[in-house]
Amino acid sequence: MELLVENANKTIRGRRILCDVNLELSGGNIYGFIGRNGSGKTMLFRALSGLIRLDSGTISLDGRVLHRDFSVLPSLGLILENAGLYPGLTGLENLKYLAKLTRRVGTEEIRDAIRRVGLDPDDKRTYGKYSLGMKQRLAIAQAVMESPDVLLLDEPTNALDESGVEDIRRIITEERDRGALILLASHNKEDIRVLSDYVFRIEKGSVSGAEV
Amino acid sequence: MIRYRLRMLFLTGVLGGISLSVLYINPYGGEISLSEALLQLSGSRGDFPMGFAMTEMVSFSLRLLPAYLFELFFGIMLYRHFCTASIYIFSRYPKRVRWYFRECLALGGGALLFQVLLVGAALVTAALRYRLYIDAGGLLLGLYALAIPALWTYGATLAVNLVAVKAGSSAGFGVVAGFQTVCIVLFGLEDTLRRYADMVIEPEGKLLRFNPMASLVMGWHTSGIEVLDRAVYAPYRTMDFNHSLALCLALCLGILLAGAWIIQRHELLKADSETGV
Repeated sequence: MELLVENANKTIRGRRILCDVNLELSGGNIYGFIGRNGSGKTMLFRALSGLIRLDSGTISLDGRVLHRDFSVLPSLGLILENAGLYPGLTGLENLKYLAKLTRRVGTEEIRDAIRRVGLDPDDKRTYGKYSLGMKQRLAIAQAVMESPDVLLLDEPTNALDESGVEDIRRIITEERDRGALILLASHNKEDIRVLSDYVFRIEKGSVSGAEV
Repeated sequence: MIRYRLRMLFLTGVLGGISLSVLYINPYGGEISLSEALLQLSGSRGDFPMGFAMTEMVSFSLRLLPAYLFELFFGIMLYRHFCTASIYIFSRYPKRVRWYFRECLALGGGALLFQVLLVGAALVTAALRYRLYIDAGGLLLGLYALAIPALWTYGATLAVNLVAVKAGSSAGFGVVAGFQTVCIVLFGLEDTLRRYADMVIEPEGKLLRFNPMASLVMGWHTSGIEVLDRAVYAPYRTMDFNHSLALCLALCLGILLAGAWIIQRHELLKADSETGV
């Protein structure tokens, strides 16, 4: 599996967010992205996930071009910083609602994913009552529950305690070993160092690297 | 969440209908026909159709309060997705427009159910307080009294959602409620024109046809069906039930299609549209 980004550019309200980004990524690897706040990491992930359109350039997966051959990457797991779920639903209800959109997994797989991140699928508390750490764990569960080919993880260990960080690092490694193509953005240099097979630096929308 | 919404819909519809009935359905002599009750629900005072005086326009606005509450509660039905899980929905589901139409269908069903509850509760309350008898004109009027306000409420609520997606929930409700209020205030223009009728090129009442809120005043409409036309006995012969129905349907379709365009092209730059984060 190969994900190609070619000459990607995006400007929002006169500000260059992505500047001639070129990437050649393959499955079974973890690509770390480090950069300051506002450097463009999250916007790059939004562009890769089809949530925003590039002004120029292309994103293609195995030769098929995003927004031409498909609207979103066909098998994608995504965590973006500050993205939430429905506060009035329990964790299980939230993930069941999302799973209904693609119909790739059933209730048992969803329950397994919730257990995998250390949460209880039978917890009657609604998402709005979760702690930040629980919300983060549930976000990771929704990203991995469908065993996607591509995982975009923006700050996946935010708000997690030490054991939580270890659990999530283990899950990310397991996903890589399964063959997923993983992009990981984190301020936590330890996450990048421990997990990444390749590291890119992103600054003012431009990407450089890849350090091994 | 669906249970919560259904509960709010039921409560608003039923309690709204009961309130409207107690406040505005007032027959002389303790009995009232179905057509009269429906006319009074939509602005008529006793046997007299709604006029253009300020007090009547205020009274008409108050009759719309349950509908405004529906717009408030359900004006975030689509928009709430853009404050929560839009990232996770739209990164999974490529057919945004299909998702949008499915949500719009649910909203449309809710608007119709709301109107049925509102009118139903009002009529049941009237029947308990007075002797309510069914007239043939009333049955036909009932269909229009359900369809036209339901379409209007649906279109307005959808518009709140769509404006909110672009500009936030406060702007959403403000713009739509403001537009409706301006349309009601423009009824007063009719009064001004009547007083200066010799300066008006067109006969009085014609401007009403182009005022969307006038569609909600059943007492201003005529019909090609004689029994219905007799039951309403409108003072102006320029508004037709079918024309108002078509106008509301056209507005709804326009908003629906505009919404599809907005949803399709909307860039998800923020995880939570309300906070801007």
